Amino acid sequence: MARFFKYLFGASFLLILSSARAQSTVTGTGSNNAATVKYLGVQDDMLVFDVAYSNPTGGKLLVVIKDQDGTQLYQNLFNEKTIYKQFRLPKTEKDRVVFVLRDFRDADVVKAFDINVNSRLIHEVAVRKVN
Amino acid sequence: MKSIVLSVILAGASLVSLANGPHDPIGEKKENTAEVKYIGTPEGEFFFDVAYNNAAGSRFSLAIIDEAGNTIFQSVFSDKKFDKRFKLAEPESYGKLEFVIRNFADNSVQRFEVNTASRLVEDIEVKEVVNR
Repeated sequence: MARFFKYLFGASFLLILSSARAQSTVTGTGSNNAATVKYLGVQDDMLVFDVAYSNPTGGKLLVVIKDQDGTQLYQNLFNEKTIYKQFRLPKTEKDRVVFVLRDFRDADVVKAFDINVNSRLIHEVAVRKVN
Repeated sequence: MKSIVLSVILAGASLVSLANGPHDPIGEKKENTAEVKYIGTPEGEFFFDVAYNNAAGSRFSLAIIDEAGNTIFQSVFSDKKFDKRFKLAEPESYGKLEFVIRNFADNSVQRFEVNTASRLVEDIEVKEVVNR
């Protein structure tokens, strides 16, 4: 079952390239090209993460996303000066997702998130006298 | 055949709690008025409190019927102040129930329809792992 979710997770992985207008979410500037990875919440049953990276020199940035087993779910190379990507991941019952940002100069930025989905059944009961 | 278990829990203190509890006491209700109340629990259990003011002590039957018309519980009582709690063993199996109280002395029948709907709620927690 875990393997199934893993494959589902990988297969359903979506990358949404958003415009660069959301620069305000990038925290920190300067020589270390501060990167941020933020969990935004759930939208359309998907977990939404923002990855932002200030890249004034236009250097290469490798974005890798892995699951809890280290299996690579996504990888891509970017070189925009302002990198702002939104990722939507399908939720599973229990999982971990790891974002690795590599600029090939400084140490990798690694951000890991534990995802816990608890499902519960809500019963709604109405009693009505019929006579 | 689907196994149906309906257990009846009669709490000895139930009448006392009924008189002092949040709902109206039986004694103040119209004569021979029955009441069926759903009591849910956080564990998802289904309880139904059935109260019937049977001042004359007449014989009456209580039947619980499922959506398909199958009687899943039936018994005859003569309690003057009937107050029993029923637990539905497999609540997810029933979308609709009917409680029927039939008084054999005056042939009165009181019916209560119970409609249930279930929905799945997901609580999602995402935490950043620090010092990985």
